[in-house]
Amino acid sequence: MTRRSWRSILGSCVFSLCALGAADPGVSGQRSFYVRQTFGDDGNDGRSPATAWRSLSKLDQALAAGDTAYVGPGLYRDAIFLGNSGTEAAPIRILADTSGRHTGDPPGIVLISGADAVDEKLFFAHSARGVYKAQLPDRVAGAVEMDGPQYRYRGVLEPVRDVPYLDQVAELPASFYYDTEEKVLYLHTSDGRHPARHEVEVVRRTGGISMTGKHFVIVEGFAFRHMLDAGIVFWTGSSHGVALHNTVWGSRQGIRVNGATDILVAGNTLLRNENSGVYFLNASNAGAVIGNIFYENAKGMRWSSQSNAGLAVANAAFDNLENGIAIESVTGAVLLRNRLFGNHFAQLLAIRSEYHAEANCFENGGPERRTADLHYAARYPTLELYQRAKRQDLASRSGGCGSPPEKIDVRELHARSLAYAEAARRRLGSVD
Amino acid sequence: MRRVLCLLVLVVSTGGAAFGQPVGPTSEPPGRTFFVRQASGDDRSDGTSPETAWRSVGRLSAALEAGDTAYVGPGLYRDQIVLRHGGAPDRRIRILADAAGVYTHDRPGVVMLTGAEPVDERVFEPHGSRGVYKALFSDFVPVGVVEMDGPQLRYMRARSTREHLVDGLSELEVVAASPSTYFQDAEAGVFYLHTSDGAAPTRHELELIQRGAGITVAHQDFVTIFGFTIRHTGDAGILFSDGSRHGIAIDNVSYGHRIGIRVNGATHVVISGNVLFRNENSGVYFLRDAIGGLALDNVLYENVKGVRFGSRSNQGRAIGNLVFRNREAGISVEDSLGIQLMNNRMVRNGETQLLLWKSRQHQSEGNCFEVSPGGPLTARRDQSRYPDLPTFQQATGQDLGSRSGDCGSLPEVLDVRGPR
Repeated sequence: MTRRSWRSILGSCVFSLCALGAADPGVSGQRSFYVRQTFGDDGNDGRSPATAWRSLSKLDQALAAGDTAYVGPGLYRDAIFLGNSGTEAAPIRILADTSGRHTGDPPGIVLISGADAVDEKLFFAHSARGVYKAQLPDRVAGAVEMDGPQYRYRGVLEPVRDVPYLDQVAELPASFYYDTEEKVLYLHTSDGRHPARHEVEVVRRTGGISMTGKHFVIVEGFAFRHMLDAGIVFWTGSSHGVALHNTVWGSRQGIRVNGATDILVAGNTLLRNENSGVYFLNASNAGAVIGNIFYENAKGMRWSSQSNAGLAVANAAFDNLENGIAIESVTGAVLLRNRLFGNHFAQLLAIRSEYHAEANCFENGGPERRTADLHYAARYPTLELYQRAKRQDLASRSGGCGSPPEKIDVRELHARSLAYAEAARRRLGSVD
Repeated sequence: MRRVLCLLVLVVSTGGAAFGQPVGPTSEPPGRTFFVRQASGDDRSDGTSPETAWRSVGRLSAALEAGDTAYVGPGLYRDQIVLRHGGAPDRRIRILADAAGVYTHDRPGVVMLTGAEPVDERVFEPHGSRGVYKALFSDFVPVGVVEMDGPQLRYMRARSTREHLVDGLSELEVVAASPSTYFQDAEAGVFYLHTSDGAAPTRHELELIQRGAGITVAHQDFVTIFGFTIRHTGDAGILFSDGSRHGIAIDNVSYGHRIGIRVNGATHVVISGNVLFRNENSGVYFLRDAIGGLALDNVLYENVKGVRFGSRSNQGRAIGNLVFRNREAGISVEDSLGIQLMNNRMVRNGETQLLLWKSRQHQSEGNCFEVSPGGPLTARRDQSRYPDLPTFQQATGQDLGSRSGDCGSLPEVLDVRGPR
C-alpha cells in the first residue's frame, strides 16, 4: 500500500470514528454505511469512508432501522431495492453526499442511472430508413440519446392497430423495439442518422431506489435518470417514506407511489418523465407533494385510483406536455398555492374527483390551452369561467405566476457525472 | 340545410367547446356568496352582492354556513369574525380577502383586521415613576397596548413577565422598571403603561387592544381563510380551537399578537404561505393535542418562537418554512411525538435554531441552519446544547442530510408603518 493510501485511509478512519460515535441512547441501530465510486470496494465492510463499498446494491440488505447510508458523488449504473424497514423512531436514511462531507470525496453530483452505455458501432442499418439494429444478448428495456434532451425513446411493446412492431419503429423517430427471442434491439434514431452519430444508452434497470412494504425510509439528494419505471419507487404496502431534494428525469415516472401511504415528496425536481413527475396510484392515501418543480413530463403531479386525501402545496408545474396537476378518481385532495403555467392541455385536470383548491396561480401560456379540464364534459379556458362553474380556486389568480425556475442542463450533468470518478481520484491523490 | 344540421349536431355534441366556450354543468354548486366592503358597505343591506355589501366583517360570523364564500374588500376593519357554523368536506366555508378588488369592485388595497382601537393619548397622566403613565377606563378593559409609530410589537403585560412570575416584583414595579410594559389594575380600573422611550403617550400614536382574535374558528370544521392582514389582538390573528378540524390559513399576514396563528386543540389544520412576525409568543403555535398540523412554506420572523408544536400536538409537520431572527427558537417542538421537520431554513434565531423539548420520534432532514460564528445554538435537545450541526448530527442521528452555513437570501421585512 502506498504512503498516499495510508494517509487517506487514516484521515477517513478518524472521520468515521467521529461518525460512528453518533449513538443516540434513544435510537436503536444507527449504523452508518458508505458507498464511494472513487475508492469503494465491495470486498470491504462498508462501515467507514475508508472501507466504503463501491456498489449501491450492497445497501439492499445491509440497511436496517436507524441506519444511514452516505453515497459519494459519481455515476452509479446500479440500483437499490431495500430489504428492511425503518421505524418512526429510527428511519432508514439514504443520503447523497454531494458535498463529500461524509465520504471525504470531492463535491459532485450523485447520479444513479438505469441505463448502460452501448457501443454504437454494433448497430447496422435495417431495411427501413432511420432504423438500425444490433445484437444485444442482455434484455433492453429502453433507449436514450444522451446528446439530446434525454427523453427516453418510445417503446413499441404492445400491438397497435395491428401494425407489426418493426413497422411502428419505422414510422416513429426516437422509438425502439427489443426482440426478446432474437435478442436484437431495433431503434429509430431521433434524426434517422446512424447511432454512431449519437451517444446512445440502453435502459436496463427498473427503479433507482425501490421498496415494497417498507416503512420510514428517507431518500435525499440523488439524481436519477433513465429508469424503466421510476427514480424512486414506493411500492405496495410501504408507508411514511420521504423523497427530498432529488432530481429525476427520463423515466416512466419521476417518483412512483403505488399502494403506499403517507409519502412525502418535497423539494424535488422532476422532469421529462414519460408519464408523470410524481404519481400516486392505487389507494396511495395521504400523499403530500410540497415545494417541488415539475416540467416537461406528460403530467406534473398526478393522483388516481382512490389515492385520497392528497396534498399539493407550493409546487411549480410548467411546460408539462399535458397537465400541471391531474387528479383522477380521488376524494379529499387539497391543492394550495401551486403555480401552474404553460402546461399544454390544461393546468388542472380533475376527473371524477372531490377536491379543494385555493390560492393557486394559473397561466395558460396559449389560447388553445385550458385553465381547468374537469374531464371531457367541462373544459374551462379561463379561471373566471372555472371559478363560476365549480366554485373552486376563488382566491386563485390567473397570470403573473412569476418566472419559471431555470431548467436543468441534463447534458452538462451527464458530462460531469462521467468525468467525476477519474478527476476525483486524481484530486484525492494530489491532496495526499 | 344538411350543413346547418351537422353544425348543430357538432355544437350539441361538443357542448360549444368548438367555439371556445366552457362546457359542462351550468348550475353553480351549492353555496351562497357574501360581500363586505368598508368603502361602501351597509350593515342593513343583505350582504349578497357587491352593491348590497355589509360594512362590518362581524356580520359574517352568523351568516356563513357550509358551502358559503365571503369576499372582504380592502380597508381597515376594527372588528372580528367568530364563526358560528362550519363547512363540510365538499362544502367548505371560505373567507377571502379581496385585496385586488376583483370581486368587491373596490380599489386594490390591504384587507386588515385589527383588535386594537385608537385612544386619545391625552387621557394619560404621569404616574410616580419616570416614563410611567396611567389612565382610567371605566367602560372597557384593554387587553394590550401598542405604539403604532414604532415597530408595533405589543407592550408586554407585566403579569406575564419573568420579573413578576419568577423574581416576584409587583406588576407596577415591573412597569416602572421596564419600557414597553403595561398593567391593568382591574379593581381600580386603572391602566398603567411605560412607553418605549419614557416620553409621554402624546408623543406617540397609541392603540389599545380590545378584541381577542381576528378570526375565530372554534368547534367548526372545513374553513379556509385567505389573504388577510391581521394585527394587534389579545390572543391571535387567527384562532382554530376546540376540536375544529381541517382548517386552512393561507397567505395571511399576522403580527403584534400573542400568537400569529394559534391552533389550540384543533386537528389537521394547514398553515401555508403566511407571514407571521413580531408576535409575543410564536408565529404559529400548535398546542393541546393539535394533531396532524401542517406548517408549510411560511415566513416567520421576530417572534419569540417561529413555528411551535407543544402539549401532545403529535404527528405535525413543518416543511419549507423560513424562520429567521426569532428571539428564542426558529422551530420548537415541545412534548410532542412524531413531528416531521423537512426542508426548513432556520437563520440566526436568537437562542437556538431548533429546540426539541421532551419530544420523541421526530424526523428532521433536509433543513438548513445558519448561525453567526460564536453565536446562538444550532440545536438544543432537552438539556443538551449543540453549537454546530455536526455535533447535533452525531448526538441525535438527525438532520444527517441537512446543511449549515449560508441558507440563502432573506425576504425584506414588512413595513408595518406603511398604509394601514
